[in-house]
Amino acid sequence: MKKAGFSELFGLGLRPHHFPEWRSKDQLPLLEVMADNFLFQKGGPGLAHLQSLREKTDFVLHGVGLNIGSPLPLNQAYLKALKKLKDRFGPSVVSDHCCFSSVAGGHSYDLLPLPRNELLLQRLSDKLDHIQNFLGCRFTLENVSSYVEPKDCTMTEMEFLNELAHRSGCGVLLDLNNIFVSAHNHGFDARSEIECLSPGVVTQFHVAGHSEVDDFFLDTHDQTIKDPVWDLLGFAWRRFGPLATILERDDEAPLDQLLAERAYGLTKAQEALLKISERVVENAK
Amino acid sequence: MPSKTYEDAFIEALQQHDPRLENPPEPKALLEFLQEKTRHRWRVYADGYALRITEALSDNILDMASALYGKGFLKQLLFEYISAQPPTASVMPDLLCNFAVFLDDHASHAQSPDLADFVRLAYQRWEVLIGEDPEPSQDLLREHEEALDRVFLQKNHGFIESDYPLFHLWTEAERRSQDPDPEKERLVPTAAEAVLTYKSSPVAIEMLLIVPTLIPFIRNLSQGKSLNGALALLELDTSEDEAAFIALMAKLRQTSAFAVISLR
Repeated sequence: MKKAGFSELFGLGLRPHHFPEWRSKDQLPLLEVMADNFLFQKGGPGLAHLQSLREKTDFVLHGVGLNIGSPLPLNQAYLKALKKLKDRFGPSVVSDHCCFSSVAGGHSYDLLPLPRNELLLQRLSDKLDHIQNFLGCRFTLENVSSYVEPKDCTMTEMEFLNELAHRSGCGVLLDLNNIFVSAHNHGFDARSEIECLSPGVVTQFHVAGHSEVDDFFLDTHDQTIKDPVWDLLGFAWRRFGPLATILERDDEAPLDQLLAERAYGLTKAQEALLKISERVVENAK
Repeated sequence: MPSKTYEDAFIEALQQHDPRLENPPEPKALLEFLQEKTRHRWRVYADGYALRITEALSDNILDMASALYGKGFLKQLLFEYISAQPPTASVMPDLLCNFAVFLDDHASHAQSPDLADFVRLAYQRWEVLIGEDPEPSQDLLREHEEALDRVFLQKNHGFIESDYPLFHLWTEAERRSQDPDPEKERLVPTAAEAVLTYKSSPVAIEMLLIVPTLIPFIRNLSQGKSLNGALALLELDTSEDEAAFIALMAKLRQTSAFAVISLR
């Protein structure tokens, strides 16, 4: 069997306003389904569209509402709905974010940064055991972009995710834009951070656009992806190999524009990968 | 050591932040938990909180209400709603389940008394749309004419009896969302209207205006009476009533409104 390469594994986030265009195409790239958009649906156009697209391509399943970092227990109704969706569509990766979003007093509908320490490692590790047993598959967590840093951090985000992956067996969805944004906002080197992740723990990549605001970068998903993020993807591809890679865009950008951006990014990231490889060979001589 | 946890302090700071104030108070409990050099950026999260919720709901579930009543007006009401009732639902659209009740008692009721019912209809349409799909189209009444006591209105439906011209308000909102030209705005009649909503296929939602004579018939079906039971209570006094009933039944039959249930 032919091993899938960077191009075959490079897909797009599925957004409802693109459904009709996707349905009219014969050849589809890998698509990422936003789980929360469909979790509690029993029928309707969304699920009907998903069913027809699944007949043409593979899915990865990505959520935003798991709230794994919260002191609250896991939301079992949410997990049940996630399992139903996963069992129906058979995605190759099932993921959510390494963050918290709600407490007993309310919901933020945001991906809020966690204090990365032993207490949280244990909390997430225990929850991941339950999630992976319940879903019957490896679960993957994504690094988030952040603007503030909790005081009680004893490790970096990649150290935290790497340790979590080793303890629980979970995967890591490495979002190159998020780490680029956070690196700028907190003053660390993105590549050195990425090197904290062991080969084998990463299961998927994300790329997206961001905006520059005051003294920080804001993860907006409504901009063209910047070249340094494509370079970072090349760097990650070299380290971790070809894995599912999803371009995320959350505004109303036309599909043709996103497909063109994907083609551009594929070239840019492969060029970056090649340059790094050449440099490594050069240094070894 | 503060007694509040970091997570509680974070969510509380988002909920209590009012971006309309020029100098909103600083959330001391949260700032205590953050590294000094990043504290000033807590507002990135706070400013996005209400904006994200009100944008998402007014652009999606309440898009028709935005077209008819104005997006700014609706967003303001949503902002007041989530300030009064901090959201706990894990799925954002579920926040709207009490929004119409909130509007019933809100000061805006005097200005736009029909808005609460319009929001009820919008939320109900969304619930119907993502609810169970109907059985594949077939003429159940022909197949089951001997057993009309087993024929029911699809369980996944909505029925609103409004004091306002709800059906016409909705169709005007749809028209305005396609063509917002104020010169083409149409006057909506003032009569009370009842609206039945259900799906005729996984991708098609039906919304019928129920004429006053037939409201008891649909109300009975909606409340769980079988077709046989609802027909037994039907009163048609004039030939116009009969014509309206025949037209309604034809529409319901053509659009898979009925389901056969063996036990209820």
